[in-house]
Amino acid sequence: MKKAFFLLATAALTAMVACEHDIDIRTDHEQPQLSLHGYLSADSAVNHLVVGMTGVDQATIVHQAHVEVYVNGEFREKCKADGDTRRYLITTPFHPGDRVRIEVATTDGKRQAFVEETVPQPVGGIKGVKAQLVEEHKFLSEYGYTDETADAFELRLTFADNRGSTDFYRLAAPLVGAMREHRYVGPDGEYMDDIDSVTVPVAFDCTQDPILMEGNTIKPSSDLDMPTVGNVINRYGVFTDKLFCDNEASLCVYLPLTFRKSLAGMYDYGTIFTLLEGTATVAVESITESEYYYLKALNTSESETYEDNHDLSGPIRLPSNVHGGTGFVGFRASASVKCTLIR
Amino acid sequence: MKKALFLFLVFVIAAASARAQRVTVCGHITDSLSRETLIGATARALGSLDGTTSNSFGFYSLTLPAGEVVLSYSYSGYQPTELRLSLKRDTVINVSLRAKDLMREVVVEADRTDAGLYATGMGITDVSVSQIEHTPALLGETDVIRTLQLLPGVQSGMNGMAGLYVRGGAGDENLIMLDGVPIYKVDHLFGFFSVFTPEAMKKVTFYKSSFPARYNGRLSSIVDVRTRDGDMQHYHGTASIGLLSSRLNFEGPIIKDRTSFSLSARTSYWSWVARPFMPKDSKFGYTFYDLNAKLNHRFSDRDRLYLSFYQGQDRLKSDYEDYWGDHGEYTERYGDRMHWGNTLASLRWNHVFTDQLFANATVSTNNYKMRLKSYDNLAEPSGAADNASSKYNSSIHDLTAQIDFDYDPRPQHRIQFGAAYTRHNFRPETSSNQLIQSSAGKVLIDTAYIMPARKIPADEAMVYAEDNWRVTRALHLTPGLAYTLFHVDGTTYSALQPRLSLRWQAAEAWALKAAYSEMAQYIHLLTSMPIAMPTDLWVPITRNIKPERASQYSLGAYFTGLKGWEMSVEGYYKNLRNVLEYRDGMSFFGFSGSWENLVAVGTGRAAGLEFLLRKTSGRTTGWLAYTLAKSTRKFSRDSGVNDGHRFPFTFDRRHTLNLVVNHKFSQRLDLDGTWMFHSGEAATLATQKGIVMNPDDGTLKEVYYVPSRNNYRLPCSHTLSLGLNIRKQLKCKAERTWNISLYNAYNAMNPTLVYRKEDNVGNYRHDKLTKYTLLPCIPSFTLTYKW
Repeated sequence: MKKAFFLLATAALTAMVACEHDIDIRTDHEQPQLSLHGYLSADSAVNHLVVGMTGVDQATIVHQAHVEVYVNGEFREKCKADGDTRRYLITTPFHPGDRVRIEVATTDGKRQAFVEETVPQPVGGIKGVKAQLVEEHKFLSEYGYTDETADAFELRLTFADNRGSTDFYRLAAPLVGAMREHRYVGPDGEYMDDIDSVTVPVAFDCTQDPILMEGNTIKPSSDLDMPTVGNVINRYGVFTDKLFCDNEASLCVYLPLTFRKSLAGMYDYGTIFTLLEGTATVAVESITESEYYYLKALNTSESETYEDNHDLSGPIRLPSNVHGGTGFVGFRASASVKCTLIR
Repeated sequence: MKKALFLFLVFVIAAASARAQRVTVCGHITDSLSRETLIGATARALGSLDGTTSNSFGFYSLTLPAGEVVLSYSYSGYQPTELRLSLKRDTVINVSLRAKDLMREVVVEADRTDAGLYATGMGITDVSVSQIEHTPALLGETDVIRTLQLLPGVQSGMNGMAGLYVRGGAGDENLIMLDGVPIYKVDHLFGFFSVFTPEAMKKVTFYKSSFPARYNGRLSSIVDVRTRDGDMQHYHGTASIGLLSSRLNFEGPIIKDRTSFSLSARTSYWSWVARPFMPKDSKFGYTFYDLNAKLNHRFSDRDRLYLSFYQGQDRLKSDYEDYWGDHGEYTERYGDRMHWGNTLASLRWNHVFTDQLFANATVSTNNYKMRLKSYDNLAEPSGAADNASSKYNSSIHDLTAQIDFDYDPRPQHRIQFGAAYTRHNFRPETSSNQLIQSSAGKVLIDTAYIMPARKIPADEAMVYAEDNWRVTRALHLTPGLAYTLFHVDGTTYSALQPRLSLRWQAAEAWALKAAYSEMAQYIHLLTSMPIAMPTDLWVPITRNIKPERASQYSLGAYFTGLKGWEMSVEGYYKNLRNVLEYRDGMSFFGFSGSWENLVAVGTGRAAGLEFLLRKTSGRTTGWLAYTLAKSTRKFSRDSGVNDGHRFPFTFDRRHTLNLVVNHKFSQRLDLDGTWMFHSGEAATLATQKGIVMNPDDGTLKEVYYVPSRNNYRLPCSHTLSLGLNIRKQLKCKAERTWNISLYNAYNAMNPTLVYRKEDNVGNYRHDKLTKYTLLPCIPSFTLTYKW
């Protein structure tokens, strides 16, 4: 399908003989923006905020900014950055329904930004969590390779929607114990392999869940290309209650037993993790509307569909809820439950 | 609102009923040779102000004081005719006009009273078929949309495309109609060419302001394309062969002076030619075709019937074969079939109830379909096989019934009123997948997944009335009112859409015009691309998304003091409400299920000044058009569009200059040229780097950052295109024409797309962009025979 479009487009465009040239662009007038980043949870005793600056060459972390926290109009805290992580620690507890405002200014006072949101209400609870091993689960990645079969845990859960207006949720990547095989550089410069166990958030396959895919589910076929038009995989698990308003919702996702995860940026080709038997923490997070759209945009910006189309459709401008700057600060309240994974 | 409508109708009827000692002359105005009805021909009583124009079916009605009168009939490119009459009672006079010996001269429609400078309305242009044929074409494909792009206030969208962006509006805000039936997919080959075959067309009228009350449903423009009825007297036709496509037109009488037909066909053949030369394991093909057919039967002077049919499709086909294994024993065959296009059919009945009352009843059907099939079959040497297939379909089906009346009670009034009802059935998408695994002919797995059609029915209804009122010799007024209803998803929306046009002849050579139009739009085109994709979907408004609305105010001055020349300046301000934009980061990739979540509702405004200098007679004709325009959009901070800041609209270009020249050297040779210049359009570029945080583990990643929408202006563009027509009269009474065209004659490297240029390690360079140019200098030729 995708191939068909691009073959046709290519044929059409090359028939017209396309030419490429360089032209000048001026970026020296670009003004850096103060950027705020974080996902602040009502369930956490300590939350982290990253303050940065955009830049033409590179984005930078700002660790000497003035950061003040207000809750329901009252000043609560002046935050300082952690020396190692350069993240600002927010110890003020947040509660669902709180109106939280975080003001940030650079030390020279030239740039100020703030974010203000209401902490959402968590769902009443998660029930009916079931995990079972499925052998040779046929993954349909957004890359379309359906011959990728692997053993996986099928995870099903049910929860009741918060009553009232439209609610926005996120199924967080379940936290699961995993064995990690990683390579590091030894004392003499040689590569060493090591194995240890850690608890990691596991990216799930939700392509067959109608709620998480907002009706656009993807069913496996062996078509080497995309079997349906416009698949943007919901990597970050955001959804609304439009399909189950004021009722119960059942979600079904798959956790691969073995997966590769990059931990250190674009030149890290990944570390192999293998899930261990044990406890998995599954959380449904209530998020703000702005976070729903932010994470949807992140889903798109990291999708194969966007990668294929952005030359024509143009770059994505990520949404921001930061006034006077950019970036995104999410506010969440979650309900979580533990379940047991048995291989 | 109902009261206002009632009062307006009472006013119209009262004005119409005041008549005394008058008789009415009516009839059809036709071409003397073919009996083809002439749209917009003028009938005028000499020595008085009384006059009218023929409607879309060539019918005119003129009520005059009884007594001696000289009636003059005229039409652009035709010899005027005068008739001296002694009017005692209502009379039917059918008039045939003889075409001037202008054969190849470009006919400039300048002396009409329902379009152009002399019309009460402003922003209305008739584009003759001769003008379309004399606009130098890309690959020889003469195209009505590309001709419209040369008018002031019209932008092409992406460079080189046959897009239509009118007075700061979006690409889906144009109501494009073929014989009165709206057409959804108006282009072939990703928007490079429109679906209209020039040989099938009789007349194109383009409205960008002063919208007649009978037109509704889009905000920015109306393109009314009327096809040929067919010659009632003689058989004749044309055949053309070009680089991209060939065209055939044939028309003639079935029963002389009673029944005629017109048949036009166009097809591309690039893939037929290329396919045999493609490798056996990799075949690719693309074709498009258009078929227009029309039957026209004249029962009497008072009754006519028209049956029109159009079908156009794009077809894409690809087949591949892969072999692997030590001896190529594994075979995989895969490919796609895709076709999309419109099928339109309409039946129209014209009836002259009285000499003052003309009616046209129409029933029509409009079917747009897109079908995609993909297959992937894998055969193993063991006999095992995997056969997978997927389908994706999308369609719209409309059924419309419409009645329109033209009522000419007095020379000062021409009242048009009517009603229409359309039943829409949208099926934005249906998809299914099937996988069959077998071994030695035995099916092991047969699974099918179907996403059923999401059928969205919608009902649209309209009533309208309009009076073309000649208040005084100098002052003409056209008040109109349309009331529309749209019912979808259990919700009914209504819109009262007043229209008003005013023309004041300030001096003999000077006229001033003003216009106000209120428009509503109930359907939207979902697309994320600047080019026309087959997967673009039309969807109706919903319970949560209100109709888009536009109020347009226009003011213009017109000068005709120099013989053979026209000058005009028009200014406009357009206020848009409930306009839609994708939220930041949202895109549409072929799935409409949650499209409401992807868009935000905001406001927009567009303003501009348009200058037109036109030469209408002589060996050299043409025009120079300049447009100064600005179009912006603004959404609330919470809507998630550009942080609530106002931003330039897509394809907003500040300056546009178009020069069109048609020069006739002799009967055998003419040269056409166009030069288009426009300043850079707005585009979105990532100009900085920023940070995103992973919502699962909190890790940070550096990404490219877009500070605001449409934050960059592309360099300006300019394109010179030339067309040379060489004609020869052959002995067999046929005429042969060679058209040699040169698109982008001096090979200007205009920017179609720009990207950030990357360095060796994939980072953007600070100082350079990559400019991607489509459509450099492209020569083409077309050979046409007319007989």
